[in-house]
Amino acid sequence: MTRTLISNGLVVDPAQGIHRRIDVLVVDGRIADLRAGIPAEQADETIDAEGLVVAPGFVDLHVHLREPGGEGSETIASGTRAAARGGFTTIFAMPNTNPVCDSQTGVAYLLSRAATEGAVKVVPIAAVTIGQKGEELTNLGTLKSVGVGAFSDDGRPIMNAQIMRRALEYTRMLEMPIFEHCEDMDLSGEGVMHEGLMSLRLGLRGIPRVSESIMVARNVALAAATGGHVHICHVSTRESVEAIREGKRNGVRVTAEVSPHHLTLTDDAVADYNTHAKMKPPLCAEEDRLALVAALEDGTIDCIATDHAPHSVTAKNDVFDAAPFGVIGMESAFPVLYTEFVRPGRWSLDFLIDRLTIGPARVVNRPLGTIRPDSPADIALLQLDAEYRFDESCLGSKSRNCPWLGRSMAARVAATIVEGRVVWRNEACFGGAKTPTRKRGGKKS
Amino acid sequence: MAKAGRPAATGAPPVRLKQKDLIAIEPMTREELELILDNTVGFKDIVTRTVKKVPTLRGKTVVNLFFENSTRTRTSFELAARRLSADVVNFDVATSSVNKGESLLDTVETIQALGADYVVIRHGSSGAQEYLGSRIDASIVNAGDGSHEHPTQALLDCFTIREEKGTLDGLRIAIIGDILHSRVARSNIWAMQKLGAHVTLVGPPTLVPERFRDFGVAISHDLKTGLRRADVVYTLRVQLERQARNLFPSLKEYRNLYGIDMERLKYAKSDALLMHPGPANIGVEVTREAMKCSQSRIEHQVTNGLAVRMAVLYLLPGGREYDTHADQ
Repeated sequence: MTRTLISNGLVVDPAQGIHRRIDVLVVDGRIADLRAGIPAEQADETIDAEGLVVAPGFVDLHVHLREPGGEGSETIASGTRAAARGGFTTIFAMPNTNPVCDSQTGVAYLLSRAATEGAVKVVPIAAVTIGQKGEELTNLGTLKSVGVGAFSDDGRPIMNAQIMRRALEYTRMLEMPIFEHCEDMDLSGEGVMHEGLMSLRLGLRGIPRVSESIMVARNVALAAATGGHVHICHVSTRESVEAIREGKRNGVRVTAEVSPHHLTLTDDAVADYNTHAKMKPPLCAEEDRLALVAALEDGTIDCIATDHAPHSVTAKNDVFDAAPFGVIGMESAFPVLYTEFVRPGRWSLDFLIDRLTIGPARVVNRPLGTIRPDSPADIALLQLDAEYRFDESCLGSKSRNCPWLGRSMAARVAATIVEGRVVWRNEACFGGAKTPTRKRGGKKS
Repeated sequence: MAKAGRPAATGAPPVRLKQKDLIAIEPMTREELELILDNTVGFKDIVTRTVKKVPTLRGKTVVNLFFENSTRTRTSFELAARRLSADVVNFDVATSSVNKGESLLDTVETIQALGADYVVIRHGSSGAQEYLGSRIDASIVNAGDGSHEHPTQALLDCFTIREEKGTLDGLRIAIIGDILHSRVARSNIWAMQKLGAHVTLVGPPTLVPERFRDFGVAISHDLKTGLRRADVVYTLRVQLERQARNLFPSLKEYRNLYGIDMERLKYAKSDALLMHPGPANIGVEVTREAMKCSQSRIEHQVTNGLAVRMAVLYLLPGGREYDTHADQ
């Protein structure tokens, strides 16, 4: 039995409605007790969380780990390290690797690599269609039985409405969501950024806003027609928000996520052809950003997901047209959202943690994102009174394509604990007072 | 107007541009644009006299790096550099290692290591020159980047107009065609407006999106309305491949709606100038008759292009120390 006491922290667990200074006792990787004044003698080791927030570990429904096939930009080891740096204890890995994760073999590979190399827990997402080609369904039921958490062809949309309809009908039986990248490829064409004043100024080809919203509307209609669960990935426009809101109002099984970059940045960020502001869907207008914030607040959008998309320095160091789409986001998610929304008083800390924990957990209907007694001890320790420059030393990823490098942040992740194991610890957050660490022979997962 | 063609002879320290590169018109001031136009006057004297060469850039190296073919623009820059006595290297991208996976930055670093003072670049991607300009010391002259800007074209166009009309202040200029994909149009919209002109964009909504109004211009989808009281009729080259993407139905339809002929030129003022950046699709955006008529300034544009590019090379630092403006 390994017993760890996390003492004197401010426990914030929105799923349980807890926001108070209590201790957390972890026994053999699970939460054993939550109350004030747990005696230190009950534990083998104590983590002094004085001045820190003790939150459930964050859950990210949208991560690209790149392994297999893209190890130059990320691996399962580096991607989960990035997760640990960001306070994420469970991440859902998108299947657009090379080869695509569309078979039991692919899922087994990811799970075994994650078990040996992963700093945090990895839930595979399998492709909806073979090779993500949008033509033939994968063995959805079999894939569910080997542990996938959702299905997605992310990186590209399922353009054929009939395929999407069949997929939703079928996954309804499985009680599994389809995570859909909503983009009409014909409308996007060769676009590289949001179509608006900035794209006109820069002479860059635009992606019209309707490229996303037309597919969101279609997918909401298909979810309504089939009873299937569609989860809209990385919502970026006001019109998409409206389509989701309308769907929810009508009882359609539609959920949605928004990324930290769409919540905080607009196409202004592209101004100097900054390739760290190039992603799909593109950064849109301020009115869209405000609509996304409001939608997250009123529950139209269920959760925050980073769409962590690593690309090598070489690939991103190019002219805008040639650089790949995507930015990394796990390490920066909590710091930037705290700095942008909680510190100025727009959101409560509880709200932000809710949308990073129980929010995503509900989308996938898994017992994650809370530290109830007997749940796995997946915990993020957060320091809120920090003031520091977010730079490359803050990254765990193999890649550097983070749009917030160089900016000042007001909060950071002090430590990340997965099933009782400390997988990330920033000594600077523990007041120099070294807490006793003890080698453990406990389970290694 | 200052005649600055032979500054070394005056003894006074010449006034130069403060910027290292000429990449875009948009961030420039009216004063900076006028400095270039004023200097162009002197250089035009040089290009039209019998001995056409001055020693201004002796010992300097100008590299022409064209990732897109353009014999006209490249020749104009090459001649401009030679008339200033610079050494000129034409970097032929088609036969270079750029096509063998060498990155853009690698190529330009190589060129810089060879001692280039100016690098004239044309590239198919918007922002390519900005990307390079921040990474190397030589002065970058943008000879066209994607759909972004083509600053020397706008400068030669404005010079041509000023030469004829004395000033751009208060003039009404209609630009006709595929504004959306045109770097010539973007540079001209900024330059002409900074110099005081009123600009109207003319074309179908697929090529002239409403959002351009935020640039400060007027928009007309009707040629007759758009050309009303215009002092300058500036028609753009139709990119034939646009048709395939359904940006307009056919060349015939384009000609019927927006082609300029002698009759339609009359929609504008009787003394309106007809301009085109070349090369024209004769019989599509403009008829041969119109191109050759007395109102056409298309040939002047080519001559003035040489003078304006000489002025630009002269005014940029090109490897000179920023703080000393000493020649030789």
